[in-house]
Amino acid sequence: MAALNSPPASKFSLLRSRVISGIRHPFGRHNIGNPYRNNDSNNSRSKTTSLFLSREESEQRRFQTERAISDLQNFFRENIPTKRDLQNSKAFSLWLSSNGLLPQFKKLWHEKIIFEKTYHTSSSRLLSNYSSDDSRNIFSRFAPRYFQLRSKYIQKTVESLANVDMLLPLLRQQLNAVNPSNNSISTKTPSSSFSLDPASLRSTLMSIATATDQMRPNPGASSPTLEKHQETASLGNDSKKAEVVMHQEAVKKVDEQESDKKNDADKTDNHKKDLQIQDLITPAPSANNTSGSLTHSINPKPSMGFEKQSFTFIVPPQPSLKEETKETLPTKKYWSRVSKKFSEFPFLRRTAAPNPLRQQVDAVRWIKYANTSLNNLPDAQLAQHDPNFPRYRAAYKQQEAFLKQRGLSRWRSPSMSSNPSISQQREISLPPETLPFAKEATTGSAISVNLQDRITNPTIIPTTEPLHMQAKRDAATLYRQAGEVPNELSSSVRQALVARNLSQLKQPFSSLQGQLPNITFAQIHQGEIEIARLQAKIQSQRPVTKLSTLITPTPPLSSGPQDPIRLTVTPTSITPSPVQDGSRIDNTNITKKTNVPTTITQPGFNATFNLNIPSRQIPESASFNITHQTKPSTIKFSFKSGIPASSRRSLRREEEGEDYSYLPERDNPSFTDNYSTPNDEQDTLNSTTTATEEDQSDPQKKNRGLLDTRSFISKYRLAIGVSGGAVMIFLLVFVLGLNGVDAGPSTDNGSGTNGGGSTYNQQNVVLQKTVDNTTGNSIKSGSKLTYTITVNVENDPVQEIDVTDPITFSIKGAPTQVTAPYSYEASSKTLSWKLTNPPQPGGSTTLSFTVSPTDNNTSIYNIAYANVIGSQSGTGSLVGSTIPSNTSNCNNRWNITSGYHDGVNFGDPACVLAKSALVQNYPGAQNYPTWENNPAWPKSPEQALVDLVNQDDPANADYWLGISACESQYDPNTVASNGPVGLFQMGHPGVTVTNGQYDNGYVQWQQQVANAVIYEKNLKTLGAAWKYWACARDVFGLW
Amino acid sequence: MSTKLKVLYTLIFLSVLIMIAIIVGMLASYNNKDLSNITPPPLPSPVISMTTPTLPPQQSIESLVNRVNNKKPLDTSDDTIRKSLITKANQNGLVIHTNDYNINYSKDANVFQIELLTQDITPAITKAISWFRDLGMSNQGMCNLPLIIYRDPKAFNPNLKAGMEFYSLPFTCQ
Repeated sequence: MAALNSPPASKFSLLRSRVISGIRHPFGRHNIGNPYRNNDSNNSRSKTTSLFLSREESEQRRFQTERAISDLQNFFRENIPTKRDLQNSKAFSLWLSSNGLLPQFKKLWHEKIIFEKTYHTSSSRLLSNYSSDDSRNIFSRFAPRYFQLRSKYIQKTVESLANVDMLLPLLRQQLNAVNPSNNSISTKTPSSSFSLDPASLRSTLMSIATATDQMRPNPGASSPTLEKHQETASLGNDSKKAEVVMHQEAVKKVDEQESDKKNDADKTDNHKKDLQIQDLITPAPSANNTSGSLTHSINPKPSMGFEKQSFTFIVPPQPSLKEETKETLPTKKYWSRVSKKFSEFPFLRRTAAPNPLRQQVDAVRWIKYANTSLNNLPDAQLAQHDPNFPRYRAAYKQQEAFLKQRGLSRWRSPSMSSNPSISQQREISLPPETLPFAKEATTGSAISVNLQDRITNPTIIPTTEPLHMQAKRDAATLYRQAGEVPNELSSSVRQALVARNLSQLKQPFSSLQGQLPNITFAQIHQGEIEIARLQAKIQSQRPVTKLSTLITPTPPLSSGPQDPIRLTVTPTSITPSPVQDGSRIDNTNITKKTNVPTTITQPGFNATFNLNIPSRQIPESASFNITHQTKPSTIKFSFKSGIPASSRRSLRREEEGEDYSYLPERDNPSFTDNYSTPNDEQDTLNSTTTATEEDQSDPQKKNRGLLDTRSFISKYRLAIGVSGGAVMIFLLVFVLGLNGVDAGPSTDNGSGTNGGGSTYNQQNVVLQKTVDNTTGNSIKSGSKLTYTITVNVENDPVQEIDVTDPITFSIKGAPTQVTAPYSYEASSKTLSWKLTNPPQPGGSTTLSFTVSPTDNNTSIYNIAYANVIGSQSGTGSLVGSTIPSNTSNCNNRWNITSGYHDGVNFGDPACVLAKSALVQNYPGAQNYPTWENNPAWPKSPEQALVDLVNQDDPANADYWLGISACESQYDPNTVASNGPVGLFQMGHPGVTVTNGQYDNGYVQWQQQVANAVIYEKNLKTLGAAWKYWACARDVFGLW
Repeated sequence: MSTKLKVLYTLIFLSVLIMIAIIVGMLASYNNKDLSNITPPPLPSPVISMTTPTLPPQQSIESLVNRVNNKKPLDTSDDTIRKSLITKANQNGLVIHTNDYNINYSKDANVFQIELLTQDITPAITKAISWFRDLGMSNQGMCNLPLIIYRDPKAFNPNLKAGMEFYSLPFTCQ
């Protein structure tokens, strides 16, 4: 019996001696590699073990081995953190660093990982098959290799942990505390503040070593396979059956226990995950608290000749810690992000987060963690681990005081994304003093990103949507306008756009790096270069759709040959049809590539070519040919873009085949060659716009100003390309903002640059708006600009004209020197005049005002509207058209009779849309497969509709065209069976229930677009964006 | 059997055949009669049970937008409820779903919505409002959330491609 009791004690002493002496091969290097090899150093123990070998013992030891393997796996799974855990565990790294063990541990851990890969690769198949029915044979076949690998694994593990100097004294202390007499291990309180609970580790490793040693064949037994065969051969069939049954029972028992353990592990999986760090670094246990340890009791059973080992792992009951740290401890998701972000840093080394917001959140969390898990260590001791701890402590106290002062229970940290979007801001419990800003914050504004600044001094950022969303949309728009698909630089473009918006928030670029860790200056710079490239491409590709000019032949052609005058505009189409009296041509659209000659057969005319720019951007170049065929002869002239529409035109007529250029560059030699003075009246066509006499008499002066403007623009663009485009950023954002804001109903909007003018035509009333920019250069902040609006009444008398001029740029104060009487609405910066005594037909009146812009270097667009009442040409109830609903089907373009139509052309009474050119293969359609692939929908909207949606809502232009195609197939007169009408199938007042004034599709198509855009903006405000239209969901998946 | 009996049996047999032929002919002539003149009994009139849906007046979208744009602050208790509802909302913003209504939180617009899922609008609104009141939300708190009530008629009429109905709260907002 003494011999039976002695093996455990001897094994303890053996393992202890090996561990204490720091040996690297606790099980003997020679025996590990070959279990069949005899080893003299282990002879005594092997012989002792061999005394207990029998068939039963063999099975029991196998069972014991499996238990040991299972326990080892569980132990490592539960106690040894994974590499990810270690990477994410700042506490562990602190602990290692505090003891100077970090480099050593890194090396050992690396070796362990390498070995683990080898071990698992070779043994995983064995382990997976071991529980099957054929486990015995497989085990017998692979046992030597398995033991070899497993022993190496244990060895490496012991090396990795035992060689950490920190562990050795603790292990020694624990091992000395072992009382072999009662075969139980008692856990003593270590003196160190950090304890790895070495008793658990030691006991488990010892049990593994014991089991391994016992399974290691003795010198005379050779392999288990041989042993089995030998024993089988020496026994009869009954003994063989008994062995098989016993083995099966043992295996079954192992499987059951493993299954139970697996279930238990699954149940406590979540809890254990939370406790991984706490298990590894537990607070110093008190004398009466031994929980959290792995107890190991050895109960020798002499009759059986083997040890029955029982393992009981008691999960440390730390509910209070878990609950308290539930909200404050870093989550795995958080650590995953942090580790990914800091993956470029050395192993286990985590520097302070550069983001002040995150630093503060870290501070709160780590102080909480320190208070709960690190046993309230003093600041001085914490500072040894992390010099930032005192600062964290101060921040934490500040947070506590802040929350206490405001009666807030806890601080709810924002998401880890540092993007200062409104969505993020909404997650933050705003303190009461920010309530005045709640309106802006909830209606699409963002608040500055700095945590403290947001609380004490919130800065309202006037945006209509989160910055990153806006940037994403703008970037997509840029690529689409450039005819490209987003490439790998699109993210840089988005970041550059976000940076641009932030720069508008009066935040210096130097502060962006801390606030936007995802955005680097390199990316911003790269994005700016990409933006400049895209903009240059857009500029080069932008089709010139409309441009306004008014050309009057001088001398009048009526004084010329009496032969019928034939005027051919090519390439062009005339929209709408020329007035048949031959006096004028309205709305000449030169975008059509088709050659549609228009012939004026009567002498004496003023030709008005309106080439409006839908995007309110001045085209760089535009040209068209006009063939004036009298004898016949040809007049061909072209002009450069960027020229105010109302500026003076000076063209020289040439004989057929001779080309004339208008306003060439100053340094262009052809300028002096081709430019002709107005003295050559016979060959000159002078503009009849509101250009002054001074301008007419000295066109070069005007041109000089224009050239200065062009020169400035060139320099401006150059600066953008070189410096990253800070000024261009502002310009682009401003232009985009203008396009987004000015969604009001308008057509034929005059446009112009500084010093330019615009013309707004209705059938009978023409508005000409010019600005007197004396400098001829770009606008400077504070400069005085005087605008003059000339209201011309053409043919029919009118009763009243309401002129509206919304000022679309920032001005200082209110307009001055305004022609009285007028009204000014400060909120919308809109000037209004009501001309109750309008000029007589053929007459005109002028309105003027002076403003002082507050922005530098920006484009200002001339916009003025007129609402004409009492004209014989129609009562103007809609901006942009004075043609009332009629019964014209526009040469059978629109169906207004069959189906549910009422015979009224309400959508396009002037046939503007009907006669507009079709845009073949509209590029936006390619972005939406459902649209492109649906043959039921026409793919070619009218150019006028494309222009209008681009003008009213450029960001969503494709959506509007797609919805129009889906809802009405671009037919503004569509009437559905259940009532909705128009391009976008909106409300029909008097027929369907309408919701507000903008839910109205029974208006002209321009107003239909405007109503839809405004209605959608309202829906977006109510959180129901695009939900009005099923097609928005079906085509674009917008909701 | 004598000859007389044979003749007698033959006559009887022929008489039976003739009778059968006559009967069959009569039946055939009866079946060939024009049945169009036969008036079937009147079918029972279908009982159409139609519940006239309660349709409260819609609220103009402009007034709702005005309320959102001029949002008033919530008092402390209502704000606490609001935050709890925001926390409760799932990824799609859905706070609660019933057969009559959905209550959503629109993160982008920062508004709460009652999406009506039934034709009976008034009872559904009442139930949804009661749900908020059960949470302790005051009427003014619902006004200041703000709470948007809408119904998508396209969900009930597949022929519709457009349309939204907005309804006002069943009480007056300050």
